[in-house]
Amino acid sequence: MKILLIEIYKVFIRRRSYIGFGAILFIVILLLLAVNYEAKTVLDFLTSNLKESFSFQGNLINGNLYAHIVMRSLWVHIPLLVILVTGDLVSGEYQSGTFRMLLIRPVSRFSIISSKFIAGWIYVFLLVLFMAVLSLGLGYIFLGSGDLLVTNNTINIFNSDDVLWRFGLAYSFGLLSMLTVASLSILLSTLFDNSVTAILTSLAVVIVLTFLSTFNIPFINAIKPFLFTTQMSGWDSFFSFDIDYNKIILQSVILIVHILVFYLLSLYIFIRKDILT
Amino acid sequence: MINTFKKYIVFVLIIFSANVIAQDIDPIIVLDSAQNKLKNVKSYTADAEIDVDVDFLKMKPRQAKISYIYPNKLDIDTKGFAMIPKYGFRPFMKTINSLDNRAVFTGMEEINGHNCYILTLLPREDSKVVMLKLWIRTEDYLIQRSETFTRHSGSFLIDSFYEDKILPSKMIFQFETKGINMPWKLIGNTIEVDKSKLNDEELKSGTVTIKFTNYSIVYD
Repeated sequence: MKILLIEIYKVFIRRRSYIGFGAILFIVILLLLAVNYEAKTVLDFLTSNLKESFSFQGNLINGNLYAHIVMRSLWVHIPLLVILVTGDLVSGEYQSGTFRMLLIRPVSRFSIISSKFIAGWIYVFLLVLFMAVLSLGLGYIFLGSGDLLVTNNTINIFNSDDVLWRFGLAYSFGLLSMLTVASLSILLSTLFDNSVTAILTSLAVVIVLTFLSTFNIPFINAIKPFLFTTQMSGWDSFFSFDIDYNKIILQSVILIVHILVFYLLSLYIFIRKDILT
Repeated sequence: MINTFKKYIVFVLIIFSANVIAQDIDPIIVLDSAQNKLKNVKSYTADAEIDVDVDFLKMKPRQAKISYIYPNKLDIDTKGFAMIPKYGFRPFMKTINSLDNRAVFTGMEEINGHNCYILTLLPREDSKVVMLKLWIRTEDYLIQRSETFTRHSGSFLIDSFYEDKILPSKMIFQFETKGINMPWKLIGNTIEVDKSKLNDEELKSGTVTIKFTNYSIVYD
């Protein structure tokens, strides 16, 4: 327990850990201005064909729309912010030589790497929670509540009292996705002795896998379901009227399996590693 | 040869009798009778449930409070967002002036078990509506169906259902429209552009069903 508290302390003592929070705060404020000034134009464009026959009652430019736009805009970038911190968790200590000091004490390698993972996951949890509270909080304060408009293949409009649980589940699923990214970067951080290499490799892996998941390339389609980046967009499923829970459970299981595999691989690598730095 | 002649005679008689019926029915009288039915309605309030069924928009039915004061004051108060037909809430016959339209009787038809006169109204002056067809019930002169042809936004058809009031308890609004301007799909973190929709002029059809309850009608 003590080693876990020390690892958490180490994560939050570094300035780098606050870059993610700062970036989210900056983007969220920018998006608030953008939604405030531009959303009406976009909405008018969407509905312009219907305006001769229909009138539209109610305010669709509200805190829920804004919070959903924040989710859509930021999920692409959050992995990068996560990797900045988690990619350095183990390799940073290889580089600075502190592991040699730590390992002469009666601390198991299992507890060290497990504490690193838990500290990384707590950081990710706080980052996602910060984004959720900030976007919904600012949205409700400045734009008020209201029905949520979501554009997928169709326009879906959810009652304002049918929205918060969707955000809750979507953020929970998003958290699982970000924990997977964090676990991958901790694995690579365990593998490489240099933080920059670990961070850049993690970023490259996430970017390449996202590319493969997004584009329709025939010979990749067979492996796409097994890529965690393919499953990461599952959070959006909660913003439809017919939620496919079986699919979401399968996606969650795939992500959890990835997390476990990354953790076990890290443990295996770390236990067998000669720490010479 | 004789058989062909008989058929010809029957055909001529049918055409002739239809003309006689058409000549007997004065569209202005039918229109006035329908207007008289509603002439004393000064205002009404009602609760309404509005259910939109169209493939490009998904939402649950919305509850609304309708308040109408003759001739054109209409308030629709909904909790949250609602897509509301611009036509249909004002009682038609209160807003149509027979002097502004040329009315033509165009036949009879049975709609939902009611015999109806069909009147076609053509505005005398330029307006957004280019033609209005009305199906007026023969037994009580209530509007059973109306079809409006607009200049820019296609046509729409309203079927009305009545219970114990002279205002409808349910209206089904069928429309055709170009749909929403959305040539892209947002799926999760990705955006797919559907090129076929960039120049999509195809009309989409849909319905809006409005159920009225708790009518409170004020008469002159």
